[in-house]
Amino acid sequence: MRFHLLTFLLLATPFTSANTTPPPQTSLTFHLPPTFPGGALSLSPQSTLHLTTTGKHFTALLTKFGTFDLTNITTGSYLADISSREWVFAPLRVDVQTLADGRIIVDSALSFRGNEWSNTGEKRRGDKIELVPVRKVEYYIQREGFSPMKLLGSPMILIAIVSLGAMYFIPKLIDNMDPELKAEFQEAQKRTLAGQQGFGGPGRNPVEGFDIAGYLSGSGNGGSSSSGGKKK
Amino acid sequence: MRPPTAFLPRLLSLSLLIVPSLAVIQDEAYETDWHVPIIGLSIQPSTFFHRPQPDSKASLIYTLTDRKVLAAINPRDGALMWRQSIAKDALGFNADSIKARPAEGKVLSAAGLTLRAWDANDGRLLWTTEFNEGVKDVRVSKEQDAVVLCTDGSVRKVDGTNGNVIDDYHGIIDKYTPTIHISPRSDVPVSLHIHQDAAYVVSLSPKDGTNRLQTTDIHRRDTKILSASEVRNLQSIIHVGSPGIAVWREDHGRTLMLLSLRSQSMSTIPIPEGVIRIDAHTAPGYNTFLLSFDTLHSSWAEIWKMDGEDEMLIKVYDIPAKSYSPTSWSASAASNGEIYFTWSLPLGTSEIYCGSAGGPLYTFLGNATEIRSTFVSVSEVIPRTDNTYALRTFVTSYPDTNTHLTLNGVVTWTRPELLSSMKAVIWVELLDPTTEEVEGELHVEESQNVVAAYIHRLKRHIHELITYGPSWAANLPTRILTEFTGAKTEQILDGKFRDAFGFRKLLVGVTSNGGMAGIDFGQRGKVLWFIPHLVDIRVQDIKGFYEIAKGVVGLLSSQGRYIEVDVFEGKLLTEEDSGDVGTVMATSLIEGKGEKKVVLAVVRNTSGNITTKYYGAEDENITVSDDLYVAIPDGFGDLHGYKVTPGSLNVKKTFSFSPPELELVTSINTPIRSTPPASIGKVMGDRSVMYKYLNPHMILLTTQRIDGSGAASVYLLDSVSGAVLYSASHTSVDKSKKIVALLCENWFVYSFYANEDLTSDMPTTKGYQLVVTELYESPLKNDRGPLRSMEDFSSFDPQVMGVKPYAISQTYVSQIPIIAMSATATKQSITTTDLLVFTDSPPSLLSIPKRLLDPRRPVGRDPDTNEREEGLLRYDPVLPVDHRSILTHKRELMYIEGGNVGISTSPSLMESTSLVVVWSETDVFGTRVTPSGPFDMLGKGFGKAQLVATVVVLTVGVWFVAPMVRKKQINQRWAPTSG
Repeated sequence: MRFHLLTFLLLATPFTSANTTPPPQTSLTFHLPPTFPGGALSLSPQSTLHLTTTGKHFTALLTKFGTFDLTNITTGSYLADISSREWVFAPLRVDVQTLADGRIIVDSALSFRGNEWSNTGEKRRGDKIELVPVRKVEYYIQREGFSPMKLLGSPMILIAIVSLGAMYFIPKLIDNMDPELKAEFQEAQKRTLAGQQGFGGPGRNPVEGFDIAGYLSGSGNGGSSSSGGKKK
Repeated sequence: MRPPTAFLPRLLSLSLLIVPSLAVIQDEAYETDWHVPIIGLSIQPSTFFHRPQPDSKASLIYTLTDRKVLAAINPRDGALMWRQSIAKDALGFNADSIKARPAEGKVLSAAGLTLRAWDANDGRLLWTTEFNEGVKDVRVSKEQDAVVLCTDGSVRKVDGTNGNVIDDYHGIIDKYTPTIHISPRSDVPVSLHIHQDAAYVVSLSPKDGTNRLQTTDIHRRDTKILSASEVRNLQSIIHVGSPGIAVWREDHGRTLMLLSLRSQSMSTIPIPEGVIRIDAHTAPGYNTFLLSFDTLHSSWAEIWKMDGEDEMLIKVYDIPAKSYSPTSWSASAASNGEIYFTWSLPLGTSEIYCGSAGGPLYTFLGNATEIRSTFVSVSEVIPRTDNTYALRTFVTSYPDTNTHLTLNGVVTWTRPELLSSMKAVIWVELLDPTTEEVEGELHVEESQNVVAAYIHRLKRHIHELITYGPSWAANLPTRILTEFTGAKTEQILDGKFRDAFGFRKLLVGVTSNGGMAGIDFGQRGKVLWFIPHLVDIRVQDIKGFYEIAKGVVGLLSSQGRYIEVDVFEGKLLTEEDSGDVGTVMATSLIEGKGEKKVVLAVVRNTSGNITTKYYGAEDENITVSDDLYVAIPDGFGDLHGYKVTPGSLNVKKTFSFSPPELELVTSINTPIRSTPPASIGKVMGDRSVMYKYLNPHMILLTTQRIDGSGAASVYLLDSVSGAVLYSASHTSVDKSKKIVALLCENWFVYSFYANEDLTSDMPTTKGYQLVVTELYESPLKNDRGPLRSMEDFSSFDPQVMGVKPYAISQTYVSQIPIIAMSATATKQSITTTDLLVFTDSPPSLLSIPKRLLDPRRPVGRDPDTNEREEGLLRYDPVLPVDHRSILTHKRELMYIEGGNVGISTSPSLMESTSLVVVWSETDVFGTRVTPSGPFDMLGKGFGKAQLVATVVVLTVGVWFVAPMVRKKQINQRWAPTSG
C-alpha cells in the first residue's frame, strides 16, 4: 500500500515540478466587522480561519488586530470557515481568479452549508473581506431547579390559590352585608339551590345517583328522574 | 437543495430541531470532565524565563517543545497561560529547525517558512512574515527587530512592530541551491550571531573538498575560514552565539574547537573517550560561558571566559565530575550583574556556580524522587545580601519527560508532559471492593475442611456483626447529615478499587517514548505510575495491547517484543524478545488454560510465510477455542484473509481481496464494540421489526483512487469468506484529506471532503460529508430474510454466501471536519448510542445522537405518525452543530495538523453512562456521557432537603387541617339549617 503511494509520488513529482512557473499568488485579509461586540479580544487567540478546496488547505490565526491574514493564495474556489469557540460565523465562498492580463481578482459571497456551489448569490469584489458573525455560542443548558416563584407561575397553582381565597373570603363578605341585603341574597341562593335540586340542573353530575339497577331492568328514562325525590 | 434565500431562519429552525437531551449542564461542566493540557518536551535553547511586559514584576516561563507548541507557563502553579501551535504548515521539519526567542513584550517563533510574533501576555498573534526559504535562525537586535537567517544564506532584518522586511542581505555566502540533498558545492548556513551592530553568519563551506566552518560579517562581507580540519556534519557544531563564540567538534569528534568570532582567537580541548553530549551555556551580554560534558555515567563542566581586548579564550576553572547522567545546566543573569550557572542534578538537587570562583556557591539538596535525572533546565537565581540564594528551576526530568519547577530544591509543581501523543490506550476495570473481599473469604473456606470452613464462616459473620454493629449505626446520623449538607458526597478512592458507580477506571497508555503510564480516570487524569523504555517506538509498532488478566496488561510490538505489566502496582512482570521471528501482522486475545489469557500473533516470518505464535502462554498450552479469522494487508495494496486455528501453528489462507486498479486502501476498520447489542431488531413505529444484520466478522475498507479523479470507495467485507457485503463509491473526494470511518454493530459511518462535482448534472455542494449506512437482514419488516431462524450461520454456507444485507444509506453535509470518530458504549447497550466526533474547528469533542443520523429520515415530506413515534425527523441534508452537545465545552483543546487523535469509550456500572477519553498530541480529555440522559441516577438537581421538607410540610398540613375538616363535616350534618 505504501509502495503504491511512493511510486506514485516518485513518478508524479518530476512532471509537476519540472516545467512550471510559480502560479500567481495573492494575499487575503479577512477582518471582523467594526461593530463586532467586544472586538477581537472577545475571541480566543486560537481562533482560526480555514480556507479549503480540494487538495488545498490554508489556515490563518486571528491576530491581535482582529484580522486573519493569508498569503500565497493560489487561484481556486474556496470555502472560508472560522473556527471559534465564542462566535458562529457564516461560511464564505471566496473565488480567486487570474484574469487574462495576469491580474488576480478576488470575489467573496455569503454561503451556507449544503449550498449548491454553482449558486453564488451576491458577490463582493476585493481582497479585504468582512466576516459575518451569526450568533454567540452557548455551551451550557441551565438545570431546571425547584423554585417557589416558578411554582406560583403555574396556572393550576394560581387557580387553586384563587379558589381557596374565595372559599375563605366570600362567607366573610356575606356576614358583613347589611341584614336586608343578606336576607335577599340568602333567599336568592335558596331559590337557585331548590331549582337545581328540583330539575337536575346544570350543576349536577348526571352520573351521580344514576340508578343502574333501574337502567338495567329497562325502566327507560335513566336515573335523573328518580334522583330528584331524594331530598323532597 | 433549497436556494440560499432563507439562511438565518433555516439555521434557527435547525437548531430548534435538536432535542437537547444531551448537553453539558452548567453546574456539571468542569465537574464531571477533566482535561490535561500538554505541550511536549521542551527544547533547551528555546526555553527561557521572560517578563511578558518590560515593566511587569514577575516573569513567565516560555518554552517551545518538540510538538511545535509555544507555551507560556505560570511559574507559580504550572498553569498554562497560553499555548499556540507554531507549525501548522511546518510538518516534516525537525525539532532543531524551530526556534523561539524573547523580545520586548513578545515572543518570536520561527518554524519552516514563517516567522511569527506573539504577544507575550496573552499569546495573540501579532504578525506573520513568510519567506520563500526556510528560517534557519533568528535573533533579536538591540532595537527589538528580528534578524533572520534563511536556508539559502540570505539575512533579513524584520521590523519588530509589524513584521515588514526592512533590510535584505543576499549573496552573503556562496550561492546555495535549495535541493533535498545538501549540494557538496554550496555553503550551508548554520547560525547567526549579533554583537552590537555587527552580525555574523556562520556556515559550513565545502572548501577544497572538505567541510570547513566559516564566518561572514554581513555588513563588511568578509568571510573567514575558521576550522583547521574537516567538520563532519551539522551535528558537529555545538554552539554558535553569545558571547561571540563558536564551539564545534573536529578531528573525528576527538577535538573540541573554541573560537572567538570577532578576534579569531582559538582554543582546543581534547574530548575524552565516551563523551556523548557537549553543550555550551551562557547568558547574553556576558563574557563567561560554561561547557558541559556528559558520558553515559557521569557529567562535568568547565567554565571559560573571553578575556581582554583580544578576546583570548581562557579556562577559568573545572567543575569536577559527578556520577550522574544525564544532568542539565543553565546560565542566568542576576540582578547584581553576575552570571550564575546552575547544575540541576537528580532529586531536584541544584548547585549554583559563578563565573569567577571555584566550587559551588550554594547547594540545594532535593528529595524529589520523581526527578530521576534531568534533561533540560532553565533557572533564575536571586542572590541575597547574606550570601544565600533563592533559586527556581524549570526542569525536564528524564526518562519520564515530565516538567517540574523546583524552588530551592523543592518541587512545587509537576506537569505530566509524558502524556503527549500516546500511541495506544486501553481501559482496565478496577476491582470491586466488596466482591473481592467475599471472594477471598470464600476461597479460604473452599480450601479448608468442613468444620474449619464452618468456624471460619461463623467468625466472618460475627466479624460482620461487629463491623455493622452499634458503632456503625452510631455513625449513621452524621453520614445522613453529610448527605444533606452536600459536603464531600463523592469519596475519592484510590488504589485498585473502583467506586460504586464504576466511574473510576484505570487508563493504561503507551507513551510516545515507548514507556507505559497508568492514568486514573477517576482522579481527573492523574498519572499513577510510569515505566520508561519498554518498546523502542521509533522502529516498532504496537500490534497488540490487551488486558490479559485482572490488572495485568500485555503489550506486543511488531518485532515480537512482549511485555506484561501489573497495572495496579505499576510493575513490570515479564519482558521477552522473541528474536527474529519476523513481523507480527495481527494479534488476537484468546482464552488460556488458567485465568490468564493468551495473545495470539499472526507472524510473517523472515522467509515470508505466515505462521502463528503465542505470547503469555506458559507452555503453549491453551484451550482450543473457535477458529479465528484475520485480514492482513500485504503491503502491495491487497488484503488477505487467514484462518487461524488456536492450539496449532496452522494458518490457512481463506481469501484475497484486491481493490480495483488504481485504488489504494487507505484504512481498514474493524467493529469497535465487543459488547453484544441489546436487541437483534429495531422496532418500527407500527410495532413491526426490522432485523439487524449482526455479523461479527465484518471489516470496512476505505479506498481512494490515486489518479486524481477524486473517486473514493468503501467496501464492507466478510472477513471469513472475503465476500463483499456492501460497497459504495463517491466522486470528487479530496484525497489530501483523510476518510474517517467507523464500524459498529449493524451500522457504519464515514466522512470525507467532497468538492463540487463538475461532471454531475445535479447541483452539488462543497464541504465535508458524513455518510451513514445501516444494515438489516431483509428489506421487509418482520422478515429475517434468507437467514430466517437459523441459530447460527456459516459464512461459507452456500445458502448464505450469496446473501447481502439490506443496506439503507443517507448522506449528510457536515459543518465540521471530522478527525476521529467513536461511539458511546454502555453496559447493556440499552441506552441509545451517540456518535462521538473529534473536530479541529475548533478542536473539540462533539456528540451527535445516532438517532439524528438515522438513514430512514423521511426525505421531502414530514414524518407520519409512525415515524414521529420513532423519533424520525424530516431529512435535511445539513447536519447542524449544536454547541450544547460539545462535550469539551469551553475547554481549550488543541489540534496539530496531521497529528493523531484517539477516542476510546468504556461502559460504567450505570447503564446510562459511558466513559469517554480523548488523547492527542497535546491533550488528554475525559468525561462521562449520558446519551439518553442520566435516567438511573439522581443528578445534582435533585434536592434531598427539599424532598424531606415537602414531606414534612405536607404531613404537618394534613395533621393541622384534618381536625378542621372533620369539624366542618360534622357541623354540616348536624348544625341547624338557617331559616
